Amino acid sequence: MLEARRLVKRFFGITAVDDVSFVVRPGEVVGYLGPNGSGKTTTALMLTGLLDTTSGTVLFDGQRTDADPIAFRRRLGYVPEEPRLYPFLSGREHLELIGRLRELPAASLDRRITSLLELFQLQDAAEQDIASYSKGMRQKILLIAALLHDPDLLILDEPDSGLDVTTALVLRHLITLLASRGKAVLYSSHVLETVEKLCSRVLVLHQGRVVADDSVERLRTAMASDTLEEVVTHLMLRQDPETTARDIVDVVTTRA
Amino acid sequence: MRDSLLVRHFLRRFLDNDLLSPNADRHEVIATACAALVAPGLAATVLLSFKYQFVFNPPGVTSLLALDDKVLYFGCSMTIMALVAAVTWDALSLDARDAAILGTLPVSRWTIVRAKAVAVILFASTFAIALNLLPSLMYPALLPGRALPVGLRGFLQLIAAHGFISALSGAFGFLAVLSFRELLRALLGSAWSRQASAIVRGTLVVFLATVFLLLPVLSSNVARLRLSPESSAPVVMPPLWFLGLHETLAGGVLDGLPRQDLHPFFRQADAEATASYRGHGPLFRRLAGTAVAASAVLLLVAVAAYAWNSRRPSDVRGTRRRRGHSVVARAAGRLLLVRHPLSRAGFFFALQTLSRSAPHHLAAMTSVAVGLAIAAVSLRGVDLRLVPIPLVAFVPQTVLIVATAIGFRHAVRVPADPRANWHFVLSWSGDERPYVSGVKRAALVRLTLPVLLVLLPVEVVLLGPAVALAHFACGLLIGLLLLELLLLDLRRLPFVSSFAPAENLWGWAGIYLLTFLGSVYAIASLERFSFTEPGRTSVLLAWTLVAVIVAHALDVMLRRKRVPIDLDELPAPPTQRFDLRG
Repeated sequence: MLEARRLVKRFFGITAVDDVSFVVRPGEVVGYLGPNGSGKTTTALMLTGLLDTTSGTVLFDGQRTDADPIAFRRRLGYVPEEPRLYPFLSGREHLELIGRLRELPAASLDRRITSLLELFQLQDAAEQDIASYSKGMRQKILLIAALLHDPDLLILDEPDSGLDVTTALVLRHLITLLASRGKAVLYSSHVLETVEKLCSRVLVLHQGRVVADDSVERLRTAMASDTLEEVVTHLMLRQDPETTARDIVDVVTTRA
Repeated sequence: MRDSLLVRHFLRRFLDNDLLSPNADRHEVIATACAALVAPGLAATVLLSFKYQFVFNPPGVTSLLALDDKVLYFGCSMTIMALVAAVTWDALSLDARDAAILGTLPVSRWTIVRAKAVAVILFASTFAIALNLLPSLMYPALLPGRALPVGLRGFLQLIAAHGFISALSGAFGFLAVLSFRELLRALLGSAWSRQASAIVRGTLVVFLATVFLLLPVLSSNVARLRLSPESSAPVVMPPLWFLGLHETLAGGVLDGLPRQDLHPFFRQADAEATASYRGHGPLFRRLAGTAVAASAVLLLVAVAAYAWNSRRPSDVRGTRRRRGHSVVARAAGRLLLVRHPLSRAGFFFALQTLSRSAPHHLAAMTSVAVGLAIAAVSLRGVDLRLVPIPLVAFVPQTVLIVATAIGFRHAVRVPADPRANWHFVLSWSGDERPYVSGVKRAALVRLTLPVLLVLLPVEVVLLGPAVALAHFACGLLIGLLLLELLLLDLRRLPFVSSFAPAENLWGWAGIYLLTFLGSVYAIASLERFSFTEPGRTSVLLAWTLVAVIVAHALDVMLRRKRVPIDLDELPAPPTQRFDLRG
């Protein structure tokens, strides 16, 4: 079980994440929603240990993750928002590097990489430099790298970004299946339809603070809304989208 | 307006070079590059002018002496500009990123190509000016000394000729690499030339850096050694073509000075020197013709090939790795018993980084070039067929092994890509021993063994099979020992930790160089002494093996204590490095 306790992150005095607490249990897929700049990625980075917290703690199975970060990271799979990979390696070479660093046995690593590359339809590009990959292809490599070592906890920061329709559907089923096998999944996305279908619980972040933490059904009931989109609109929108769109069109079409 | 915007954009792209760290301060990079370009030229000019300022040389002697300096100047300008082109290889023409970003804008392709070409010309011109301006002003002014009455017109003529020819030599060097690159693209096509570019660029850097380091040797005694009728240098040494052009344009300034007031003590020497100098007159004119013709042909080829390759956008397909490479790497890994997953990670990642990442590849190639240059200087004028075998016959292998090991030590301290370090942070087990061991074995496969294998056939011919094999085995053990020793105090993760520049490197440079040369000659003496008898050979090899084992054991012992390695640390800001915090 992953537990975030009163996480705070300040950058040069500006609070990016403010007193965020939540729990992700085994078998649970928790949606992590919020507009751009609301602190989702900062939270994900603090959970993985890639970013130090200003205050607050992260616990995994009751233990502070900073007490033994290596043990925690052995059980963690992470897909970041930005697909930063070694550009001069091929997709296969990159996965081999990650597998070896995670000390996976050579024979099973080779088999697993080959199978996963095929299943993600990357076999033809496997020997090609990552520098030439599209965003979706890089995202697939990140997904495979996060799954290679069969982690107990998955933190996925916009994993569907850039993916084609087929792979996005595969990903949706994959997450459901992984959760059914006891994995804890924190899923951050802007695709509300997917979040609604996938997640048993949803956390909504706004300006660094959690403004909602409940199941999708209860949130819908509480907000008297039909869809998650309406719930999120109630919680986060500070401006009328239609008016904003009209203003944009006015700016674009006005001749000087 | 749009053109100048594009030109500015492309000029900025030259700073987005692979060789610069994403965390580097651009102002610092520019300041350091300018200092590196200006300072050596200034120092060299002052040193070269001593012989004219403090000793009286009559006009004929001065003309003859100055030939060496001019070959050095023009050669330096040519090789440095060629090296600049080799280093900025990928930025010399529009790439896939340019095509993707600018191709969607309503700007014609030829406007973009023209802006890129202007940016390349501006970039090269700025470099050439920074490199040659001060020497071109100072050297011709100091050349006649205080005693030769050149006059203002003569000074100006000398300065103009020196500046023009230095710039032309630089342009020649730059254009030579540019033409070569564009011809390669035109002949092989975009995808294949990209495949070959790492090897071609690496080979070019080795060749150019070796030539640059050998220039002081190549430019000594030019009149006697390089311009003699039996020498082939006028054909194969382009700096001599530009020397010919310079002498044709401005040689008369010194040669035409009056001699009637000359002290009788100098008359004989001056008469001989003047005769020798004037004897080269027809050759200078021929060389001048070659310089002009070669520059014109090169310019035409560069423009034509550049225009031809710019007809359509760059191929955005990536480089496909050849399976053969990984098969060889895997076989080498099996042979060297790289079994632990972390050792395999270190071994393969080091091999891939050393051969594909531009800064690492360049570090390795430059170290080979330094080794080659020192080896060539040590072998100069030595008859290797002598019995007993001369000491210097054992020097090249050790020089190259030591140089590549030092280059490797520098390379491991440069991160492969700091933005991708998070993979290591999340996957790292905390035990660096197997990883570092894999990295060392990769260095053996990628750097030490190729050097030994390339030299082996030559040494079999020169030293005989038995001595050559013993020398090979000794070289291998010395290579292993160096890799152990040079990484002994490194408690950073090779190719991952942020780059930490060595403290006060220049202060220690002299001591390092003396230690380097002293060790190389000590090892060569030991080898020559030992290889005369099989017993001594066995003792030398056994002791070297013991040294390798001891160094390895020491390394394992030192790394037993796990030190937390911070992979997120950023290099210190420039103000802190220069201690300018106030």
